[in-house]
Amino acid sequence: MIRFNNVDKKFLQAQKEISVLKGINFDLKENGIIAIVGKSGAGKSTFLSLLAGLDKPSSGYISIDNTNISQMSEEEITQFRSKNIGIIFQNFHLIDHFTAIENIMLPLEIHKMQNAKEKALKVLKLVGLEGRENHFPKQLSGGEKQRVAIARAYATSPKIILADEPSGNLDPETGERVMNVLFQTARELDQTVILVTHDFELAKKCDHTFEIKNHQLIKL
Amino acid sequence: MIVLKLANRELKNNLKYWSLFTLNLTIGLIGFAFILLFRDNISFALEERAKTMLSADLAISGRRSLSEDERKAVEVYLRGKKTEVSKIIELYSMGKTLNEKSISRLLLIKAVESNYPLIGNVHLTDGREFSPVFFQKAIKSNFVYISEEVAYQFNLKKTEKLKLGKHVFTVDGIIESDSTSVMRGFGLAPKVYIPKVLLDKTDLIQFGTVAWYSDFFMLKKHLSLEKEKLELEKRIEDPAIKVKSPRNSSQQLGRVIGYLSDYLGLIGVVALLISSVGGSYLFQNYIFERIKQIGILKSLGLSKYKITASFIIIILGLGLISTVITLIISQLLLPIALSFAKEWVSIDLTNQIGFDIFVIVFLIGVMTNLLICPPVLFQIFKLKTINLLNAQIGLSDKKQILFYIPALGFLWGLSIWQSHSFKIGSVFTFSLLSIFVLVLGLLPLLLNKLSDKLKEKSLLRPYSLAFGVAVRLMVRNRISTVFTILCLATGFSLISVIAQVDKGLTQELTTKETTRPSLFMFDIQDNQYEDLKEFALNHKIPLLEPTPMIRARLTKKNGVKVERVQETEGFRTREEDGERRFNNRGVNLSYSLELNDAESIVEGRPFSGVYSGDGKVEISLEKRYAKRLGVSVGDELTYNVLGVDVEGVIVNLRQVKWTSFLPNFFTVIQPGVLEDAPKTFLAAVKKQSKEEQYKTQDLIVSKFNNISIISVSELITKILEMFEAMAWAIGIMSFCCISVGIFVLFSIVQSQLRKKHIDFALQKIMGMSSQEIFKSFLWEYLTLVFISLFMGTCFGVIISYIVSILFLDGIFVFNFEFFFIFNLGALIFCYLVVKYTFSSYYNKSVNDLFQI
Repeated sequence: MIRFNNVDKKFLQAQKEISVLKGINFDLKENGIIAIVGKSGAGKSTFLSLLAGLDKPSSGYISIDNTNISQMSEEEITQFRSKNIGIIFQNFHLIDHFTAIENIMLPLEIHKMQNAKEKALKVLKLVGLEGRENHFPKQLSGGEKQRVAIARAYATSPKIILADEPSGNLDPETGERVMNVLFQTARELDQTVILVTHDFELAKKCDHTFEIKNHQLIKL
Repeated sequence: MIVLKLANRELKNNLKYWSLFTLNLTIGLIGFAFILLFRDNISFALEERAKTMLSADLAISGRRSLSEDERKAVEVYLRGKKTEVSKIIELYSMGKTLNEKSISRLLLIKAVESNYPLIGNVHLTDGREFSPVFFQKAIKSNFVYISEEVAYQFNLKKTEKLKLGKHVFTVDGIIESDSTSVMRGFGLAPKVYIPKVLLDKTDLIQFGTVAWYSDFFMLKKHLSLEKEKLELEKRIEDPAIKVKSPRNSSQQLGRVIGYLSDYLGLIGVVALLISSVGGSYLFQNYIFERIKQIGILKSLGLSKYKITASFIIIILGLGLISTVITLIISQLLLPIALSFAKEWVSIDLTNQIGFDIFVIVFLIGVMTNLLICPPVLFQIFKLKTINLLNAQIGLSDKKQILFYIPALGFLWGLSIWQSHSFKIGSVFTFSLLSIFVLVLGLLPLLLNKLSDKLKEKSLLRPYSLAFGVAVRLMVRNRISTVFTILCLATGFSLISVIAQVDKGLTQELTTKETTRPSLFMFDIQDNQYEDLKEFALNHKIPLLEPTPMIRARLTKKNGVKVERVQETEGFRTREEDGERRFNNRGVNLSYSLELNDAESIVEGRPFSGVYSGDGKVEISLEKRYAKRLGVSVGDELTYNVLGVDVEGVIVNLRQVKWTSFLPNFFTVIQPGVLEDAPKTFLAAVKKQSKEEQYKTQDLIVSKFNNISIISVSELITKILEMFEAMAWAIGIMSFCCISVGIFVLFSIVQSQLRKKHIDFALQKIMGMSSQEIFKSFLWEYLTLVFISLFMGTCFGVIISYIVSILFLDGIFVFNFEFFFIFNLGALIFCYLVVKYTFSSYYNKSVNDLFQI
């Protein structure tokens, strides 16, 4: 289903080339909740960015359902991502000037889905934010914002959910609640979740755990 | 020290942003500096041309020469101020050649001193020009210099004789051009110049002879001519003696100079305000972008004064850098501007940016921003640190507008200084304030309402997803939307004012060449009317329909007698004297059912038809005349026409385009009333070549010897040439001002767009295609620009109407072409700016977009 084939990623910083990922090979064939762990700066977020098509590998390729996403143009990857991938960011990345419901409705309406509002309300209820639909992000707490982000990621029922430290900006209690929502929803909808975290405790709750260490991906 | 370090770090770390910022500010300031340079030079050139027409800096003239006391008073006052004096006596007299068969003709004799004219030139057809040396010879040899018209009428050539009074002169030259020819408006006869010392020999000046005595003065450079004129007027109490400055050497010229100097003042203020709006937008925008940073600094314990100081250092530093770059580049660009100005507007620019331009550029580049930014900073400091860290700001505090009062006061002062007019400066500052209050008061409310309405709608509404997203971003991003619309609408309204006023003035100053008359005829008797028309028809003279003229006296205004003040009263002020003469003066009436090409009704209705004998006679008055008379539509006037009272009611006010130079009357009566009254006619002959003109003059004089016929083509051409040059100058100035305005305003749009990369990335993550996102931003900005254009144009038309009423005698022509082209052009330009800005986003990955 997801395949990394000898993927390298290098960045140019202050005219110096820095290797973040080297020869990554990864093959995921079935649904489940996967944790990617590693120290800060190890390349976890880069791994996720490449998988989400937010960035391109320096060499090698990534395929999802046998489709090579590394060869796609920006427009093609945008289309592919919107149909197959939902992303949850550590810092939420909600549109500030859209209400909670509008943030969730946007991907649905981009796909011209019928009854977008009803569907959005349903997902909002799933993440426990019933009654907060007309609140703007600045009127929500960190945990609530992240739950809106989760609802937005799930709204179009993508096959894969990518979550980049979703509880990183939240207090432990809220973080746990948010992660429960994330896991529960994924299992209910039978989706694949790839979760980037540096929290090994959280990783233990996942079906499989991988660690990025010395630019390599190692199964734990 | 920490303050300097912070400022230094900020500049170093955001070098690209600040370079672009400085570039924008510098381009705006360069445009502004050149507008001021052009303005000052056009103003200077205008004054110089007016001086040339007066032939001096100041003139004192009247129907008598100055008394000893008056001369002494003038002499004492001007001691140390004047550099040269020239005296001239003008009178009408008959002249004839020595040929027995030659008939006498009326001539205007100008007896001048050897230094005439003090400013300007009189060129002869043989290439010589008037000079002191030249006049020494003229005195010794009894020379006279004649106009081409005189040469033609008398068939005179060089060395032939012309008798003026008792003295015989020898023609030494024929005048080809005379830069001073507008000094006395339309002369009633062609002119001849003689040396003043020879005037006595003609014996033409006798007791009771009507002659005009003028003393011309050249003054030292630094003196204000208008001030000196007023001072001299205080010293010469007799209102019959007039002191003339270049500005009021002729009525038309005075009015045009008045219009132009007001317009140039307007340009200065508009350029100043647009630059201020642009500059302050850039700085305030910068502060809004740094809210989070302010929060961090505050949370780290840095006092708000130190944070403010670091911002002020940046504002001051960049303002200074921009000012210096502006001045350097302006100096480098000056040679190009010089040649451009010379070729296109026939104006020699001074070759340096003056100190006042340096000061104003500095004030705009630094001071205005220093005054405008601290209020925003103080507002921001009132927020909780947590709000700053979350970059949460609002427009909730209405009192914050009060913080702008010092900046407004400063701008007001600058506006008055730049327009050289308290009225213009104030009108503009307060118009601006009204726009601010209206936009800041109403727009947030409107946006709030709209935002609430949108909450209930699908994102696909209104119209489409792209538009739905655009409208939401615009409506919810209140502070940015209000601020952008405020700046754009203010800028667009100022641009609109320039375009509207430009159109009115240009239309007023220019006239079609084919409609200009070349000859004027006076004293056409009633019984000659038909004969003259037939004669003109037979000889193919393009005679315009003669206009009847009846002498009358205004006796009553709304039933109240107009007092005829006796001449024996004591001292009167010049204003009182003007008023007295205005009320006592007889008036010339005319009658006509139709308006001529130069007239248009601005208030009231046309005449109902020929007078039936019932009710009051209908009267049409020229608008400005009605204002001076203190009457308007519906008021009643009674005229005494040779003992018979004619009672009438004003049914309309006319605007007369006086640059048409067609015979026009202040008062026109409905036909069917004055036809039987004793009257004469005025007529004009359409534009002809010089030869045709002379032929026409000869034909008319030989057939109708009582008719006075004068050539006005040279005078009209000269005045119109000047006006057309000025209309060009106005056009160029308007173009410069509008161009700078558009640049500044679209810098604002672009700086807004540059902040959109995060929204772009987020919408891309949601699955919106780049095309769809582009459409959404395009909608957002087209809507913003459209609203600003709509508001700006409406405000602009209102302000220009007020300006036209206050300063330009109500000259207002709605500039539809500009309205249409500018609005369409601005929207197309907006499209291009959005397209250009987003072209770099199209193929960027989401990660790259986040990192821009």
